Parts: sequence; structure tokens; C-alpha cells
Amino acid sequence: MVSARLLPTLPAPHAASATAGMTKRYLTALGLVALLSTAAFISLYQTIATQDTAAAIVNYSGKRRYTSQRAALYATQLVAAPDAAARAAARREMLASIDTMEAAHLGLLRGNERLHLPGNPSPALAAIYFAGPQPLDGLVRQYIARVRALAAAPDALLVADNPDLASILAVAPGALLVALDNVVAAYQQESEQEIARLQETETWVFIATLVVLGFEALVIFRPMVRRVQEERAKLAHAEAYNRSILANSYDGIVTIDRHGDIVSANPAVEKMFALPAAEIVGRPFRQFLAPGDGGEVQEPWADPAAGVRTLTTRRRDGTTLTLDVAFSSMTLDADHLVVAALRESTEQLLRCVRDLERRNQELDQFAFVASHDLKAPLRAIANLATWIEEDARRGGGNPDPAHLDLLRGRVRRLESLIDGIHQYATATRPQHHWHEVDTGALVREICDEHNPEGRFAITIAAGLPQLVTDRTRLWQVLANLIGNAIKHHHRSAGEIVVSARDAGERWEFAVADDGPGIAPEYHDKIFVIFQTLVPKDVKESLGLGLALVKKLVREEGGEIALDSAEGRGATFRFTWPKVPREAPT
Amino acid sequence: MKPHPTGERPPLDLLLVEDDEVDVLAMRRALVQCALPHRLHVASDGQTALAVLRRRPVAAGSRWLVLLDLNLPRMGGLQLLAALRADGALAAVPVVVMTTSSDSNDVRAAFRHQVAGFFSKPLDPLQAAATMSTITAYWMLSELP
Repeated sequence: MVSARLLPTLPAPHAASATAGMTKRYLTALGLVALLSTAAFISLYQTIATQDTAAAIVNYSGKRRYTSQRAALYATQLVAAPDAAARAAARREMLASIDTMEAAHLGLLRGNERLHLPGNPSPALAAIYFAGPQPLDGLVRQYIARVRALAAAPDALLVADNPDLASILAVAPGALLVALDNVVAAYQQESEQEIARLQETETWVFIATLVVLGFEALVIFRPMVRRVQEERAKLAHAEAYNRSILANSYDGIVTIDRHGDIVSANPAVEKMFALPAAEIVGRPFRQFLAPGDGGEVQEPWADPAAGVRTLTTRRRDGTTLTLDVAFSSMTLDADHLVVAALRESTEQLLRCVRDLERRNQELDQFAFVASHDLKAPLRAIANLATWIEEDARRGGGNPDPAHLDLLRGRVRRLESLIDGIHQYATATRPQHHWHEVDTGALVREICDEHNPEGRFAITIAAGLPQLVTDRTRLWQVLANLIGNAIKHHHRSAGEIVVSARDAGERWEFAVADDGPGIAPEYHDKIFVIFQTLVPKDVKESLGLGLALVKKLVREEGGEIALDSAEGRGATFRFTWPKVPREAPT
Repeated sequence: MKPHPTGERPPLDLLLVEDDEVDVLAMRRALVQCALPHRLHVASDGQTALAVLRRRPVAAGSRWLVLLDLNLPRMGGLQLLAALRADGALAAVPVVVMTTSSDSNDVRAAFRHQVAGFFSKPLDPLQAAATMSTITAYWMLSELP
């Protein structure tokens, strides 16, 4: 879920040391593996080198044996050669053989790099070479000396009983061959032992490797895996924690990217926008604001310094909601985001509370005034009925017609009071009925109705607006004001001017007359229901009209004011919204 | 109804501040029925009442007792009381409130202006006459400023 990704995980104070510990562990593990590999490599290398050396040793000890016999063979041929050429060839071959034998012997004893011979024979071999009644070294050296002596002997001495030849032929197939065979066997045995020893080492290295790997798996890798699992569980918990905070937040929380598009939205936002998150995420934030909002700052979310702003959201069903929106910026993975916390505007709530308080007060006053004003005619009726009865009992003949007139008048007044109460109570139905209204035409219509004979000169100023509003309500307000101007005029003719001016968010309408005017001390009283400035007996007036007008104007969020003084005419001004408070339905 | 003893005192000057024609008639009938000798003056609103009182102030020998309805056109009963108490010559005039209203706020406000009594207008005319007679009898016994 995108929204969770955007939230910081729970603080983990031990994370740094835990990471260091893990690093140390796997470095140790890797070090051990490297060490063991090196050991295996060295052991293998040694085995190969030992095998090479053993092969060279066995080879040269064999060669020494073989060349000794070859020298003996050519010694025989040398003596038996028929001519000088054959003698020379035999002598050459004999010397070559004996050279090879000597080089092999010296190499085996003292070492020879070219021949890959290490020399330095083991104590057992050294014993064969140098100890015993007939040390091999001495035997070989004597033999070589005999062969060289034979080779150097003049042709005359090359006879069958040459002492050197005799010695050669006696030693070569006898003592020398046996000794050389023994030494070959000894070398072979020794090198086999050495290789066996190296193979054993290799086996041990292999076992050690297995043991170390097992140890690492148990002591290093298993805890590491467990640790990673724990961290993952912690992360999952942190994520669930953050998500549930988001999900249960009363405030709407929205993140916005640098293009102004919504990246995430929590359930509170869904409720505020009356849309599922899927239809919010990915769309421009601006799209959810009522037109004109955020006007002075083109992109309020682009400037987190904007702090808390009051914005209005328009929902798909046309209703609006005023929100206090706190913007703050956030950087996550090098992405710059703006977090917007949305809360239903307290300003709007306070306005609702004030509205309710005012209505409550009005209701109290209304109930009190209504009961009082209904009681007055009832009492009069009771009085009059009693008097008529008393007079009749006293034998006064027909009832006093004045009393009867009064009685009927009070009954009529009671009836119109009850009608008035009904009219006042139902003046502001819960629903509005929106119409495109030409207010100029509306005023003309009202004038035709209230001023049919044209006794009053009614001027309708230019510039009365065209607006979408509840026609009936505006009609009631204007009709009452114009009607009052005519009804309460002290002359039978007069002048009335109806005008309007642009007052920003609203129109301000004015109805001005040149009637008797109203002293400032009564300006509050005239708007109270059933309050009249003239005794009801003098002018049959309920005192309902202006109360109704005020209620209607306040209901539209407007104000009504009176500008008047005694003898100076009266001007009623009221403001009326330019656009409907709610969208047209 | 028997006339109340009036002693040696001259009759009262009752100023009825009342805009309802029938209530004025009722007062007149009550005075006649109870054979009360008091003079009845009527003002239909607060301003008229002030004018009447100022024309014949206490010093001129009038024994004023104001019977005041609170619910009046233009200047209301409470406003009239405030004006009376602020007027040096009229501040001491006794005022009895007789009104349809028995709202506790109105009662408190009236007594704050030192009214001498507060009565709801009874619906029954006989009872109204009896109340009237009791009030005037009481004031006949009392000294007046």
C-alpha cells in the first residue's frame, strides 16, 4: 500500500549496533571460509608437487640402475670390439651411460633443480647410501671410477682379464644391481608414504571445512536469518501500526507529489470527499477544491509555508465542505512530497453553532411572543362575552353593537395571528428551489401587485442583477419591504426607490421610501415578531412582515439594516448571496 | 362589590398605559362596577404616558398610580419604566405592572425598576375587576409621594 510506504517506520534505537554485529559475524564467516579454501589449495598444491618430485626421484633412481647395466654392457663390447671404430663407439656409449649414472646419483644425493631432484635423502635412505658394511654411495663411486679407468685404458690393455673390466662385470649384475634395486624400491615406498600422508591431510582439511561450515550455519547464519526475520516482523508491525493510525485518524491525510497529484489518501479523506480512495489517488488535488479556492496562492501545496489554510471541497453530489488544511513538506527517498492534513473547518462548525444559538434564541422569543400575543385577543373575547352577558341580564335589550364589532375584530385578529405564526414558521422550508431570477422583473411584478392604482411613484434603478436564487424567498423579502413602504406611508402617495449594488460576495438591495420614518430607538424592535409601532387597534397590522424578512435574509447568510429617522423616510438595506449557498439540485 | 373605605384621602389618578382598546374598556367597567371614584387617564404607548405625566406632575397635586402594560407599540413598558426612573420629577411615581406576560425575565427587569407590583391580566373579567379593586384599595391606604 502506497500510503504505508510513505510513513516512517517505528524508531529502532538498536538498529545501528545490530547491523554492526551482523557485519562482524558474516565477515568472520567469510574469513573462515577463505582460510579453509587456502588450506585446501595449499594441501592440494603440495600433493601435486610431492607427486612430481616422487616421480622424478623414482625415474632417476631407475635411470641410475639402468645406466649402470648399460655401462657394463658397453664395457664388454669395448673389450670385444674388432676394430678401432667399434672400440671408439663402445667407449663413447659407455662414457655417456656412466655420465648419466653419475649425474643421477649426485642429483639424488645432493639435489638438482634442473632434474627436479630435491636431494637430501631421508634417514632410512641415507643409511642405505652411507652406512652398513657396503654403503651404496661407495659402491657407486667405485663402479664409476672403474668404468672411467677402463675407458681411459690404452687399447693394449683392453683384454678380457683387465682388472677393471673384471670388477665391473663382477659388481654390475651382482651387489650393485641388488643395492640399486633396493634403493628404487625404498624410494618408491617412501614417496607412496608421503602421498598417503598428504592425502590424509587433505581429508582432514575437507573434514575441517565441513565442520566450520556446519558451525557457521548454526552459530552465524541461523541467528542472522532469525534476526532478519525479526526485523521483517518488526517492520510489518510498524507498517500495520502506521496504517491503522492512518485508517483511524479523524483528520484526513493526503500526500501530494510535486506535480500536485495525490499520492495517498486515508479513509477520513474518503469520507470528506465522499469518494473511494481509488478515485482520489493519482488525481490532482486541485480537482477536489471548489472553483476559486486557493486562488490567491495558485498552488497552496507547492508552498508549505502556506501553513493552515481554509479551503472548500466540492463533492460529486454538489454539496460542499469547508476544510482547514495544514500543509507540510516531507522528503522520502529523494522524492519531495507535501503532506496535507484535512479537518472539517472549525470556523464552519462555529458558524453552525452560532447559527443554532441564534435560531434557538429566536425560537424562544417566538414561542414567548406568540403565546403572549395569542392570549391578548382571547382575553378580549372573554371580556366582551362577559359584558354582553351582563348587559343582557341587566335587561339592556340588544347587545351593544360596538362590543359585537370588537368581538368579531378580535376573532379575526386571532385567526390572522394563527395564520401569521404558520406563515412565519414555514417561511423557510428546508429545501430551496433554485431559479434564474431577473430581479428587475421581480420588483416590477411586486409593484404591480402592491401599487395597482399607481399612487406611488416606484423607481426601479438600473443594474438590478440577474441571479440564481430561491425566487419565492427573495419575492417575500422584497414584497414585504415594498408593501410596508406603501402601507405605513403617512400620505396616500409617495416615492419608493428600489436599487442594488455589488457588495463583493453578495448583492446589497435597498428599498427607500419618503414615508414618516422610524426613530432610531425602535430600529431593533421593528424586526421582532408581532411588535408594532402603532396600536393594533389603530392599524390592523400583525407585526409579522419585518420579522419574516429578517428571518429570510439571515437564513441566506445575509444581514438587514435600517437607515431612518423620524420624518426623514426609511431605507431598508439587505444583502443577498450572488450564488446559491448550495449547488442547484 | 362594596366600595372600599377611602378615609379622608382624595381619589387616585390612575394612568392606564395600554394599547388594547378592550382592556381599556375592561378597566372602565371595573371602576364603575366597583364604584371606585378614581380618575382614569389612558395612554396607548409609553411616550404618550410620559407626556401625560409631565403635563400634570406630582407637584401639581395629582396622586398618580401608573398601571402599566409591558407589551406596547413603540416605547415598551420596560423602556417607559427606565425613562420614568431617570426623570427626577417622576422617579418616585408608583407603577404597578399589569400585563399578559409573566416571563420571569420581565418580572425581574420590572422589579429592578422598583415597580410596586406585577400582575398577570386574568382571563376572567370578574377576577380582573377584583384584582383592580384590591390594588386601588391598597393604594388608598398608602401615602403617596
